[in-house]
Amino acid sequence: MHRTFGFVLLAASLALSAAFTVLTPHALAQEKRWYKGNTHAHTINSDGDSTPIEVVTWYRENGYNFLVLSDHNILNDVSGLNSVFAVKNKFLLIPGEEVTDGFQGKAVHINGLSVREVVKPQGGDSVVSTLQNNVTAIRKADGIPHVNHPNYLWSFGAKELKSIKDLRLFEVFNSNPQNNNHGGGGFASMDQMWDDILSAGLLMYGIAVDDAHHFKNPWDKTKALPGGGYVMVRAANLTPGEILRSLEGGDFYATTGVHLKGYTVTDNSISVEIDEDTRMRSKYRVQFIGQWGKVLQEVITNPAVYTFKGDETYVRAKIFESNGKYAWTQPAFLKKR
Amino acid sequence: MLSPRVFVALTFATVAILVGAWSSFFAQEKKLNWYKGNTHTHTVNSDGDSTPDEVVRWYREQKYNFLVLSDHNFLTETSGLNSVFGAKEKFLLIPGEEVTDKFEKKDIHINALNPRELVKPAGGDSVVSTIQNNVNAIRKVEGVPHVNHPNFNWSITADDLKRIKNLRLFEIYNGHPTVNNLGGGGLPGLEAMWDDILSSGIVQYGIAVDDAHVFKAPEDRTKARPGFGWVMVRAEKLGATEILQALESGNFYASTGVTLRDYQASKKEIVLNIAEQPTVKYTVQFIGQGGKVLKELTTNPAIYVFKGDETYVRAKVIESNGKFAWTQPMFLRN
Repeated sequence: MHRTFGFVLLAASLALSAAFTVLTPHALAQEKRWYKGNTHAHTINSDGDSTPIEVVTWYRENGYNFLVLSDHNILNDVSGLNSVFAVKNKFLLIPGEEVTDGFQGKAVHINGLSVREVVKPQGGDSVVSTLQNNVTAIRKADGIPHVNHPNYLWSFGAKELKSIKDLRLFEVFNSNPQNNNHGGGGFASMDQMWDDILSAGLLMYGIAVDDAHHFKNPWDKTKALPGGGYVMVRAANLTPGEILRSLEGGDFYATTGVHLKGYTVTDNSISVEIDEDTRMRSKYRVQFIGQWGKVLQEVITNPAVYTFKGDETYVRAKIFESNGKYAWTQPAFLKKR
Repeated sequence: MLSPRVFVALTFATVAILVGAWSSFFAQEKKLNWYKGNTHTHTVNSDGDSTPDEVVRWYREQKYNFLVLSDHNFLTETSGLNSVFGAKEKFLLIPGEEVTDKFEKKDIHINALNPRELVKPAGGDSVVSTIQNNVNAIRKVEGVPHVNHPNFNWSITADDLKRIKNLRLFEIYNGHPTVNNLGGGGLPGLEAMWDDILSSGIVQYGIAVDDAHVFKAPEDRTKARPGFGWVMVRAEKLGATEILQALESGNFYASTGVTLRDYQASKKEIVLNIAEQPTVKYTVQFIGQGGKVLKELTTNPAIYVFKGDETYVRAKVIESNGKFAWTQPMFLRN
């Protein structure tokens, strides 16, 4: 039986159908490198405790390549900051905003990355319509939407996310300590939510962010501190266009500290090469996860390779480091023929 | 009724089950309080970055009730610190030391809590004998030993720990970022090791500690910073003897941020009551032989009624932001 697996790329159409454009991994790998970024952080322009310049300084000093200052319903002008901090292929501020809406006690927060102008909360007559109206408004302003912390105030889950159109990204990890990534009390964890969505045949990519608010109380573990979660995006150049295209095309991984040397998907297999932390003498295990969150294979070799059997709908990898750090690669869907 | 002195004198191997039953009985008889403490931290007296005064101040300000300064092969004098920082029923320094030994490339680090005098590394001709010799040396000076970070440099296995005598405590969680609590590469995490030990009928209690070294780089996640793991000890009062007795009899839980309102274990059931935080949800797992999850609950209190065929049952509380609490195993008498 002829099988074709492929990386799914967001191209002309954002319709969530099985007819995805396939880009070969060779083309993807060509002259590209990984850029470290955080798409969700706050300043005193909303409820953060530090000025934009202090916040940017923190990320610049901590090895990040790009940053989105996403204040609540505020679009920061980053041209001045970029003229001070930006360095070609080293550091870049991408404009953004956290469109902060709600529906009857549920928090509906959606980041608009690189929106042309500020997007006001659109409201709606349900959680789903509030999500959809804001996603649509962000798209209309040429922004890239990502849905934030579904478990914050236990606001929505896979059921709601599955109904949203024109959405590719949501937070599978947010290190703000109120966001309940692990689920509990019968509520799904972010990983379970993600597998629920993917198992319905819907393509959404999982990002990690830190949602930092507090840069002045580094000892207070109840505060939203920076550095907890981020994405590593594969792109040829550090520009808003290329970074956002790679994010929406799933050419990135989410992480809380595990780094990859390589990640390759072919028609036959997925290969995950871990950039091992030898100084820490860390050990790793890689889970390849498929339909309904089932662990299809657990591997302790590096690189970790999963060979497709042919009956999978999607396969994603989660890397566990021995001190509790993780990385999540994006799902590779079996292309329906 | 056993007196504490008689209790200490009894040998550990034979009284483990009695201890569990006795301490839960004891818990109902006398008014006991919970005390928050960390038994593993470093100062400039070994490889920490801050003075004892600074380190103690950090824990005092963070509302800990007791602290052990455990420098490598160095017993820090705590009487002066206690006269400055000690406060009745509020804060106490207990003397201690991290006896820091090695066998070939394996790191054998064992804390001595409240030893009468400095214990020097005792050496040995295997991992097991090095651990045992140091445990013996600590006991000889009336200290309470706890084995540290078994997965640091992948040094100590469950099979090693099973063979150690006169040992009740080992670290199932250590906040240092390079001690590999979760295992990996085919090697088990500390919790799996714990269940392996308990499943062979050996009673060892699991503690959580910081192993803090660095107080001056609070944002550096690669450093061993304070405040990640601790124990909540149930004792009659905040005294070194009372705290250490409670630790050695398992009357405590280990935590990385979950607080319990109450915990009662009898021969009939385990009742665990979480001090819930707003907007947070909890899952409680009751775990038995072989690490098997016997029951998973989302109620508060969470109650496990013994069926009668369990060897041991312990509870793990999982909080929705990734914090945990681990209660100590309740062994059933056959």
